[in-house]
Amino acid sequence: MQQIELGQEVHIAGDEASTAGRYLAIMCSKECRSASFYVVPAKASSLSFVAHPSRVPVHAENAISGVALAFDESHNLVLEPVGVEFKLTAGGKDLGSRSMRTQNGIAWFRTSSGSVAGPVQMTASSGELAVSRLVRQVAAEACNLRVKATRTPKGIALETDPVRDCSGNLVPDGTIVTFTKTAGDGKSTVDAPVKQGVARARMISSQGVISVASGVVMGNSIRVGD
Amino acid sequence: MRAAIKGTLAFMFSSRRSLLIVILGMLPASILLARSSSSEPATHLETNFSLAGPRAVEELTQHSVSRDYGLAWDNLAEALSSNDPVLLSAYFAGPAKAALEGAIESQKRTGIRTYYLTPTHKVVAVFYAPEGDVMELHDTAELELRLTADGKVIHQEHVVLRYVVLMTPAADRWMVRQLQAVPHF
Repeated sequence: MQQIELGQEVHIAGDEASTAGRYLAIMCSKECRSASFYVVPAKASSLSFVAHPSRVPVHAENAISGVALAFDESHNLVLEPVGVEFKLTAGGKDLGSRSMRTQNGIAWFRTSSGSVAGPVQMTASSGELAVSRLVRQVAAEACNLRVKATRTPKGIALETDPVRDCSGNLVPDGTIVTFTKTAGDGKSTVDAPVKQGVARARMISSQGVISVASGVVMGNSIRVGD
Repeated sequence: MRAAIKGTLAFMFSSRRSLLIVILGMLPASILLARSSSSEPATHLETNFSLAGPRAVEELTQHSVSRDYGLAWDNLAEALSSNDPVLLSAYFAGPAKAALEGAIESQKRTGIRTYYLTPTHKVVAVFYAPEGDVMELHDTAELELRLTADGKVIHQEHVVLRYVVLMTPAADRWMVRQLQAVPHF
């Protein structure tokens, strides 16, 4: 609010109206008069980039997505179309890119994950502006799950071959493998986490049919006997 | 930004000295009786989620966004008419909250209060992120806008205002993060 003289020009500096929107200028003497005007966003000076997910299995269709929003220096959403390029790289190697223009301040993309486990860098850029996010690709479901058994003085020791997905990626540590023994006296199961690619378990009884599974993936069965 | 307001405002009035007030008018409609925690808003909304993409807006989400955007306006109207920024915390975050708090601070300094009377909102969802974490709305609000200074009405108009709105989900509600008045969509 300021006092002005008749005929005096009033200048409003940019930093006095840094929020985009509709403004009212109201002048009051004996009565009040008003005029409205809009302040619009300046050019884009930052990108907000949201990428999902942080971990994704390999070969997952349309599982990776990114949304970029363009803002000016006062954090107003820039509604004029802005060119945005999305790029995916892994180990310095380009996995793909896509260019588009923002619509209503937003650009987005969606893509499938690759075949190799490991970190993938997603970058959204516009001119000199660039923002990166990291997505970790992990192995998909186990494939060709196999178990082998070794007799011990107290029973049998079970161990899988290295557990890999169908692309050859080791499944992450902590993946649960279920060993099931079926014998005349019933069924018993042991859940074991994968450690460094291999799941291990011990069973007391030394006879029966032993099968292995991880999630919905069934592996081989082996018969052990006295 | 500077380019947008480069023009000057000159006013001629009959008395020697006049008072010029520039008011942030980015915030539209609602009613005098606002709520911060009721389950349904008093603000009247017409919503259309059929144009949103790339993700379709689930029915439950439609209801949540409509409710929370309406409640946000309830609180906004109450906050601007009472100059109480605390009311903003429930449904505003980030730049929208900061801008509104600034507007209220400015109103307090100048003794101004803003009233949004008999508003109607026609809200169209134009973007819903693939993972459901950002939604953009276009809100056309028609209302009676009244400003008072020290209890005296200094401005009143019937106005149609257009807002670009960004909302994001929080723990138990959708929050308004951007509320930007635009001349047209």
